[in-house]
Amino acid sequence: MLKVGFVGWRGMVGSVLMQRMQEDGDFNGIEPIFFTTSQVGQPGPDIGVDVPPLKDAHSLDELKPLDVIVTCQGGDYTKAVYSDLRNSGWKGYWIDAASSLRMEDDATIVLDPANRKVIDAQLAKGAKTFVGGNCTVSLMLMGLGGLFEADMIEWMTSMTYQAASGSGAKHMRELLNQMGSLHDCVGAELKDTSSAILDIDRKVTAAMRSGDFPTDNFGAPWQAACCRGSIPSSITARAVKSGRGRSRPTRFWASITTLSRLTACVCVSVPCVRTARHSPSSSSRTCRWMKSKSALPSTMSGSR
Amino acid sequence: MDEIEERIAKHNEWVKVIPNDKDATIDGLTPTAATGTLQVPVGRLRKLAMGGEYLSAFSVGDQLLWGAAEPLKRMLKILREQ
Repeated sequence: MLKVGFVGWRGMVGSVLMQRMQEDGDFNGIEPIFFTTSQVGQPGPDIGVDVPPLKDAHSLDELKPLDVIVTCQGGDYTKAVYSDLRNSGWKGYWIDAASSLRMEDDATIVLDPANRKVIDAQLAKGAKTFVGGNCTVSLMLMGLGGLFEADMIEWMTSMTYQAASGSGAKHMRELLNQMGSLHDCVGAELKDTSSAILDIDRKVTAAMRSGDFPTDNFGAPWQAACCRGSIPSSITARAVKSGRGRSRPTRFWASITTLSRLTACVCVSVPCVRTARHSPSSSSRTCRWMKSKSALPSTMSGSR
Repeated sequence: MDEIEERIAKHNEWVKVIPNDKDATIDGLTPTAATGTLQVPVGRLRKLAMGGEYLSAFSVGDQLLWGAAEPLKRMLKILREQ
Protein backbone atom coordinates (compact mmCIF):
# COMPACT_ATOMS: atom_id res chain seq x y z
CA MET A 1 0.00 0.00 0.00
CA LEU A 2 1.40 3.40 -1.00
CA LYS A 3 2.49 5.56 1.92
CA VAL A 4 1.29 9.03 0.94
CA GLY A 5 2.25 12.12 2.89
CA PHE A 6 0.08 15.24 2.67
CA VAL A 7 1.50 18.68 3.39
CA GLY A 8 -0.51 21.90 3.27
CA TRP A 9 -3.85 20.10 3.41
CA ARG A 10 -5.48 22.85 5.52
CA GLY A 11 -5.00 25.65 3.01
CA MET A 12 -7.43 26.52 0.26
CA VAL A 13 -6.07 24.23 -2.46
CA GLY A 14 -5.31 21.53 0.11
CA SER A 15 -8.84 21.67 1.51
CA VAL A 16 -10.33 21.29 -1.96
CA LEU A 17 -7.99 18.36 -2.58
CA MET A 18 -9.05 16.68 0.68
CA GLN A 19 -12.72 17.20 -0.16
CA ARG A 20 -12.36 15.82 -3.69
CA MET A 21 -10.37 12.80 -2.47
CA GLN A 22 -13.01 12.02 0.13
CA GLU A 23 -15.82 12.39 -2.41
CA ASP A 24 -14.15 9.83 -4.67
CA GLY A 25 -12.98 7.48 -1.90
CA ASP A 26 -9.35 8.11 -2.81
CA PHE A 27 -8.11 7.59 0.75
CA ASN A 28 -9.10 3.93 0.56
CA GLY A 29 -6.22 1.78 -0.55
CA ILE A 30 -3.46 4.18 0.46
CA GLU A 31 -1.79 4.84 3.79
CA PRO A 32 -2.31 8.58 4.30
CA ILE A 33 0.01 10.43 6.66
CA PHE A 34 -0.59 14.09 7.42
CA PHE A 35 2.14 16.62 8.06
CA THR A 36 2.18 20.04 9.65
CA THR A 37 4.55 22.95 9.96
CA SER A 38 3.12 24.07 13.31
CA GLN A 39 1.08 21.41 15.11
CA VAL A 40 3.24 18.30 15.41
CA GLY A 41 1.62 15.54 17.45
CA GLN A 42 -1.94 16.83 17.14
CA PRO A 43 -4.61 14.44 15.81
CA GLY A 44 -4.82 14.10 12.03
CA PRO A 45 -7.95 15.13 10.12
CA ASP A 46 -11.11 13.06 9.99
CA ILE A 47 -11.09 11.63 6.49
CA GLY A 48 -12.94 8.40 7.13
CA VAL A 49 -9.84 6.25 7.65
CA ASP A 50 -7.48 6.07 10.63
CA VAL A 51 -4.48 8.36 10.42
CA PRO A 52 -1.53 8.83 12.79
CA PRO A 53 -0.93 12.11 14.67
CA LEU A 54 0.47 14.98 12.60
CA LYS A 55 4.15 14.74 11.73
CA ASP A 56 6.74 17.43 11.18
CA ALA A 57 6.74 18.57 7.55
CA HIS A 58 10.34 19.78 7.86
CA SER A 59 11.70 16.50 9.21
CA LEU A 60 13.54 14.65 6.45
CA ASP A 61 13.53 11.53 8.63
CA GLU A 62 9.72 11.60 8.73
CA LEU A 63 9.44 12.31 5.01
CA LYS A 64 11.93 9.73 3.77
CA PRO A 65 9.79 6.59 4.42
CA LEU A 66 7.02 7.97 2.16
CA ASP A 67 6.35 6.62 -1.32
CA VAL A 68 4.55 9.80 -2.36
CA ILE A 69 4.44 13.36 -1.01
CA VAL A 70 1.55 15.59 -2.08
CA THR A 71 2.14 19.21 -1.13
CA CYS A 72 -0.16 22.21 -1.34
CA GLN A 73 1.93 24.05 1.23
CA GLY A 74 3.29 26.57 -1.26
CA GLY A 75 6.53 27.39 -3.00
CA ASP A 76 8.49 28.41 0.09
CA TYR A 77 8.01 24.97 1.61
CA THR A 78 9.05 23.29 -1.62
CA LYS A 79 12.20 25.42 -1.77
CA ALA A 80 12.99 24.64 1.85
CA VAL A 81 12.55 20.89 1.67
CA TYR A 82 12.62 19.44 -1.85
CA SER A 83 16.34 19.70 -2.70
CA ASP A 84 17.51 18.45 0.69
CA LEU A 85 15.09 15.54 0.52
CA ARG A 86 16.23 14.55 -2.97
CA ASN A 87 19.89 15.03 -2.02
CA SER A 88 19.36 12.71 0.92
CA GLY A 89 18.61 9.97 -1.59
CA TRP A 90 14.82 9.95 -1.41
CA LYS A 91 13.39 8.35 -4.57
CA GLY A 92 9.68 8.81 -3.92
CA TYR A 93 7.13 10.70 -5.99
CA TRP A 94 6.74 14.42 -5.28
CA ILE A 95 3.39 15.90 -6.36
CA ASP A 96 3.29 19.66 -5.95
CA ALA A 97 0.65 22.37 -6.39
CA ALA A 98 3.23 25.16 -6.21
CA SER A 99 4.90 26.65 -9.25
CA SER A 100 8.46 26.69 -7.92
CA LEU A 101 9.53 23.42 -9.58
CA ARG A 102 7.52 23.94 -12.76
CA MET A 103 10.53 25.12 -14.76
CA GLU A 104 12.89 22.41 -13.51
CA ASP A 105 14.08 19.83 -16.01
CA ASP A 106 13.16 16.86 -13.85
CA ALA A 107 9.58 18.04 -13.28
CA THR A 108 6.59 17.01 -15.38
CA ILE A 109 3.52 19.20 -15.47
CA VAL A 110 0.34 17.24 -14.89
CA LEU A 111 -3.04 17.67 -16.56
CA ASP A 112 -3.85 14.17 -17.65
CA PRO A 113 -6.95 14.88 -19.76
CA ALA A 114 -4.57 16.88 -21.98
CA ASN A 115 -1.19 15.19 -21.54
CA ARG A 116 -1.69 11.68 -20.19
CA LYS A 117 0.65 10.26 -22.84
CA VAL A 118 3.43 12.56 -21.70
CA ILE A 119 2.83 11.63 -18.06
CA ASP A 120 2.98 7.92 -18.92
CA ALA A 121 6.14 8.40 -20.98
CA GLN A 122 7.79 10.36 -18.18
CA LEU A 123 6.81 7.70 -15.63
CA ALA A 124 8.30 5.03 -17.88
CA LYS A 125 11.52 7.06 -17.96
CA GLY A 126 11.59 7.10 -14.18
CA ALA A 127 10.33 10.63 -13.56
CA LYS A 128 9.49 11.22 -9.90
CA THR A 129 8.44 14.87 -9.74
CA PHE A 130 5.02 16.01 -10.93
CA VAL A 131 3.78 19.58 -10.70
CA GLY A 132 0.41 21.20 -11.31
CA GLY A 133 0.30 23.61 -14.23
CA ASN A 134 -0.42 27.30 -14.26
CA CYS A 135 -4.16 27.53 -13.64
CA THR A 136 -4.75 29.70 -16.70
CA VAL A 137 -2.96 27.23 -18.95
CA SER A 138 -4.66 24.23 -17.36
CA LEU A 139 -8.12 25.73 -17.78
CA MET A 140 -7.28 26.74 -21.34
CA LEU A 141 -6.28 23.19 -22.19
CA MET A 142 -9.37 21.76 -20.51
CA GLY A 143 -11.54 24.15 -22.53
CA LEU A 144 -9.82 24.26 -25.90
CA GLY A 145 -7.61 21.18 -25.75
CA GLY A 146 -9.50 19.71 -28.71
CA LEU A 147 -8.21 22.44 -31.01
CA PHE A 148 -4.62 22.12 -29.76
CA GLU A 149 -4.78 18.37 -30.12
CA ALA A 150 -6.03 18.73 -33.68
CA ASP A 151 -3.04 20.97 -34.42
CA MET A 152 -5.33 23.77 -35.45
CA ILE A 153 -4.05 26.77 -33.53
CA GLU A 154 -1.22 28.97 -34.74
CA TRP A 155 -1.36 31.41 -31.87
CA MET A 156 -3.69 32.48 -29.14
CA THR A 157 -4.11 35.49 -26.95
CA SER A 158 -6.01 34.94 -23.77
CA MET A 159 -7.36 37.72 -21.59
CA THR A 160 -7.76 36.13 -18.21
CA TYR A 161 -9.98 37.38 -15.42
CA GLN A 162 -8.70 35.88 -12.21
CA ALA A 163 -10.97 35.52 -9.22
CA ALA A 164 -10.03 36.53 -5.68
CA SER A 165 -9.76 32.90 -4.58
CA GLY A 166 -6.44 32.63 -6.39
CA SER A 167 -5.00 35.11 -3.90
CA GLY A 168 -6.10 33.23 -0.81
CA ALA A 169 -8.69 33.15 1.92
CA LYS A 170 -7.87 36.59 3.35
CA HIS A 171 -8.45 38.17 -0.03
CA MET A 172 -11.81 36.46 -0.42
CA ARG A 173 -12.88 37.81 2.96
CA GLU A 174 -11.65 41.28 2.12
CA LEU A 175 -13.54 41.31 -1.16
CA LEU A 176 -16.77 40.57 0.71
CA ASN A 177 -15.94 43.24 3.27
CA GLN A 178 -15.39 45.70 0.46
CA MET A 179 -18.76 44.83 -1.05
CA GLY A 180 -20.44 45.22 2.33
CA SER A 181 -18.72 48.49 2.96
CA LEU A 182 -19.96 49.93 -0.31
CA HIS A 183 -23.48 48.71 0.29
CA ASP A 184 -23.47 50.19 3.79
CA CYS A 185 -22.45 53.63 2.58
CA VAL A 186 -25.51 53.91 0.31
CA GLY A 187 -27.95 51.58 2.09
CA ALA A 188 -30.53 54.31 2.72
CA GLU A 189 -30.38 55.62 -0.84
CA LEU A 190 -30.79 52.12 -2.28
CA LYS A 191 -34.01 51.63 -0.33
CA ASP A 192 -35.34 54.83 -1.86
CA THR A 193 -35.97 54.03 -5.53
CA SER A 194 -36.25 57.73 -6.33
CA SER A 195 -32.76 58.59 -5.07
CA ALA A 196 -30.35 59.96 -7.65
CA ILE A 197 -28.03 57.32 -9.04
CA LEU A 198 -25.21 59.78 -9.65
CA ASP A 199 -25.27 60.71 -5.97
CA ILE A 200 -25.01 57.03 -5.11
CA ASP A 201 -22.13 56.68 -7.55
CA ARG A 202 -20.29 59.63 -6.01
CA LYS A 203 -20.70 58.20 -2.50
CA VAL A 204 -19.49 54.80 -3.60
CA THR A 205 -16.44 56.32 -5.28
CA ALA A 206 -15.66 58.41 -2.21
CA ALA A 207 -15.96 55.32 0.01
CA MET A 208 -13.58 53.37 -2.19
CA ARG A 209 -11.04 56.20 -2.10
CA SER A 210 -11.32 56.78 1.65
CA GLY A 211 -8.66 55.55 4.04
CA ASP A 212 -11.25 53.47 5.89
CA PHE A 213 -11.93 51.17 2.96
CA PRO A 214 -10.65 47.65 3.75
CA THR A 215 -7.65 47.13 1.47
CA ASP A 216 -5.04 45.50 3.72
CA ASN A 217 -4.76 42.38 1.58
CA PHE A 218 -5.40 43.54 -1.96
CA GLY A 219 -3.71 46.88 -1.39
CA ALA A 220 -6.42 48.45 -3.53
CA PRO A 221 -10.20 48.70 -3.68
CA TRP A 222 -10.78 45.49 -5.60
CA GLN A 223 -14.53 45.72 -5.63
CA ALA A 224 -15.40 47.73 -8.72
CA ALA A 225 -11.79 47.54 -9.79
CA CYS A 226 -9.79 45.42 -12.15
CA CYS A 227 -6.13 45.11 -11.33
CA ARG A 228 -3.14 43.26 -12.58
CA GLY A 229 -3.09 39.73 -11.28
CA SER A 230 -0.36 37.95 -9.44
CA ILE A 231 0.53 35.93 -12.50
CA PRO A 232 3.17 37.42 -14.81
CA SER A 233 1.45 39.64 -17.32
CA SER A 234 2.69 37.64 -20.24
CA ILE A 235 3.20 33.93 -20.38
CA THR A 236 4.60 32.84 -23.67
CA ALA A 237 4.90 29.20 -24.46
CA ARG A 238 6.37 27.63 -27.54
CA ALA A 239 6.25 24.10 -28.73
CA VAL A 240 9.22 23.64 -30.97
CA LYS A 241 9.66 21.20 -33.79
CA SER A 242 11.92 18.81 -31.94
CA GLY A 243 9.54 18.52 -29.03
CA ARG A 244 12.47 19.19 -26.73
CA GLY A 245 11.84 22.16 -24.57
CA ARG A 246 14.10 24.87 -23.31
CA SER A 247 11.70 25.50 -20.52
CA ARG A 248 8.93 23.87 -18.60
CA PRO A 249 6.10 25.61 -20.42
CA THR A 250 7.79 24.44 -23.58
CA ARG A 251 7.59 20.88 -22.45
CA PHE A 252 3.97 21.31 -21.52
CA TRP A 253 3.34 22.48 -25.03
CA ALA A 254 5.55 19.72 -26.28
CA SER A 255 3.14 17.40 -24.54
CA ILE A 256 0.45 18.69 -26.80
CA THR A 257 2.93 18.32 -29.62
CA THR A 258 3.29 14.67 -28.80
CA LEU A 259 -0.42 14.11 -28.96
CA SER A 260 -1.02 15.96 -32.14
CA ARG A 261 2.30 15.75 -34.00
CA LEU A 262 2.29 19.50 -33.99
CA THR A 263 5.24 20.73 -36.01
CA ALA A 264 5.01 24.48 -35.70
CA CYS A 265 5.03 26.98 -32.88
CA VAL A 266 2.13 27.74 -30.66
CA CYS A 267 2.52 31.08 -28.97
CA VAL A 268 0.21 31.96 -26.15
CA SER A 269 0.24 35.41 -24.66
CA VAL A 270 -1.75 35.95 -21.50
CA PRO A 271 -2.41 39.32 -19.98
CA CYS A 272 -3.95 38.55 -16.62
CA VAL A 273 -6.03 40.72 -14.33
CA ARG A 274 -7.63 39.88 -11.06
CA THR A 275 -11.26 40.90 -10.87
CA ALA A 276 -13.76 41.47 -8.11
CA ARG A 277 -15.13 37.98 -8.05
CA HIS A 278 -14.66 35.11 -5.65
CA SER A 279 -14.32 32.16 -7.95
CA PRO A 280 -13.74 30.87 -10.57
CA SER A 281 -11.58 32.41 -13.26
CA SER A 282 -12.71 33.07 -16.78
CA SER A 283 -10.92 33.86 -20.00
CA SER A 284 -11.66 35.50 -23.29
CA ARG A 285 -9.55 33.96 -26.00
CA THR A 286 -8.75 34.83 -29.56
CA CYS A 287 -6.85 32.40 -31.69
CA ARG A 288 -5.60 32.15 -35.24
CA TRP A 289 -5.89 28.95 -37.16
CA MET A 290 -2.84 27.12 -38.36
CA LYS A 291 -2.23 27.77 -42.04
CA SER A 292 -2.11 25.04 -44.65
CA LYS A 293 -3.11 22.24 -42.39
CA SER A 294 -4.90 19.24 -43.70
CA ALA A 295 -6.59 19.05 -40.32
CA LEU A 296 -8.19 22.40 -40.97
CA PRO A 297 -11.88 21.95 -41.59
CA SER A 298 -12.82 22.78 -45.15
CA THR A 299 -15.35 25.28 -43.88
CA MET A 300 -12.52 27.20 -42.26
CA SER A 301 -10.25 27.01 -45.30
CA GLY A 302 -13.04 28.23 -47.49
CA SER A 303 -13.70 31.20 -45.31
CA ARG A 304 -10.27 32.73 -45.66
CA MET B 1 -18.24 26.05 -36.78
CA ASP B 2 -19.96 22.69 -36.20
CA GLU B 3 -16.69 20.81 -36.59
CA ILE B 4 -14.85 23.22 -34.30
CA GLU B 5 -17.50 22.81 -31.64
CA GLU B 6 -17.38 19.05 -32.05
CA ARG B 7 -13.59 18.95 -31.67
CA ILE B 8 -13.77 21.09 -28.53
CA ALA B 9 -16.61 19.06 -27.03
CA LYS B 10 -15.01 15.67 -27.67
CA HIS B 11 -11.65 16.45 -26.08
CA ASN B 12 -12.65 15.48 -22.56
CA GLU B 13 -15.74 14.73 -20.53
CA TRP B 14 -15.73 18.01 -18.60
CA VAL B 15 -15.64 20.62 -21.34
CA LYS B 16 -19.10 21.84 -22.28
CA VAL B 17 -19.79 23.83 -25.42
CA ILE B 18 -22.37 26.52 -24.76
CA PRO B 19 -24.38 27.55 -27.83
CA ASN B 20 -23.78 31.16 -28.79
CA ASP B 21 -27.17 32.49 -27.88
CA LYS B 22 -28.19 34.75 -25.05
CA ASP B 23 -30.22 32.38 -22.89
CA ALA B 24 -27.75 29.50 -23.04
CA THR B 25 -24.87 31.88 -22.32
CA ILE B 26 -26.56 33.46 -19.32
CA ASP B 27 -27.49 30.03 -18.00
CA GLY B 28 -24.24 28.20 -18.56
CA LEU B 29 -21.29 30.50 -19.25
CA THR B 30 -20.94 32.31 -15.96
CA PRO B 31 -18.69 31.93 -12.92
CA THR B 32 -21.78 31.19 -10.88
CA ALA B 33 -22.61 28.23 -13.10
CA ALA B 34 -19.08 26.82 -13.09
CA THR B 35 -17.85 27.43 -9.56
CA GLY B 36 -17.52 24.32 -7.43
CA THR B 37 -17.94 22.03 -10.44
CA LEU B 38 -15.50 20.25 -12.71
CA GLN B 39 -17.27 21.51 -15.81
CA VAL B 40 -15.41 23.88 -18.10
CA PRO B 41 -17.99 25.76 -20.18
CA VAL B 42 -16.72 27.25 -23.46
CA GLY B 43 -18.94 29.58 -25.38
CA ARG B 44 -19.28 32.77 -27.41
CA LEU B 45 -17.58 30.79 -30.16
CA ARG B 46 -17.52 32.82 -33.33
CA LYS B 47 -15.30 33.90 -36.17
CA LEU B 48 -14.15 37.48 -35.91
CA ALA B 49 -14.85 40.29 -38.33
CA MET B 50 -11.16 40.64 -39.22
CA GLY B 51 -11.11 37.27 -40.94
CA GLY B 52 -12.52 33.77 -40.91
CA GLU B 53 -9.27 32.35 -39.58
CA TYR B 54 -9.76 34.18 -36.28
CA LEU B 55 -11.87 32.56 -33.62
CA SER B 56 -12.98 34.05 -30.34
CA ALA B 57 -14.04 32.02 -27.35
CA PHE B 58 -14.92 32.63 -23.72
CA SER B 59 -14.33 29.98 -21.11
CA VAL B 60 -14.90 29.61 -17.39
CA GLY B 61 -13.43 27.13 -14.97
CA ASP B 62 -12.92 26.68 -11.25
CA GLN B 63 -9.29 27.57 -10.61
CA LEU B 64 -9.27 25.58 -7.36
CA LEU B 65 -10.41 22.40 -9.13
CA TRP B 66 -8.93 21.96 -12.62
CA GLY B 67 -6.70 24.94 -11.97
CA ALA B 68 -5.12 23.44 -8.83
CA ALA B 69 -6.35 20.40 -6.89
CA GLU B 70 -7.87 18.08 -9.49
CA PRO B 71 -4.73 17.41 -11.60
CA LEU B 72 -2.84 16.48 -8.39
CA LYS B 73 -5.63 14.20 -7.21
CA ARG B 74 -5.64 12.46 -10.59
CA MET B 75 -1.84 12.15 -10.64
CA LEU B 76 -1.96 10.35 -7.31
CA LYS B 77 -4.56 8.01 -8.79
CA ILE B 78 -2.33 7.35 -11.81
CA LEU B 79 0.49 6.36 -9.43
CA ARG B 80 -1.83 4.03 -7.53
CA GLU B 81 -2.87 2.31 -10.73
CA GLN B 82 0.70 1.67 -11.83
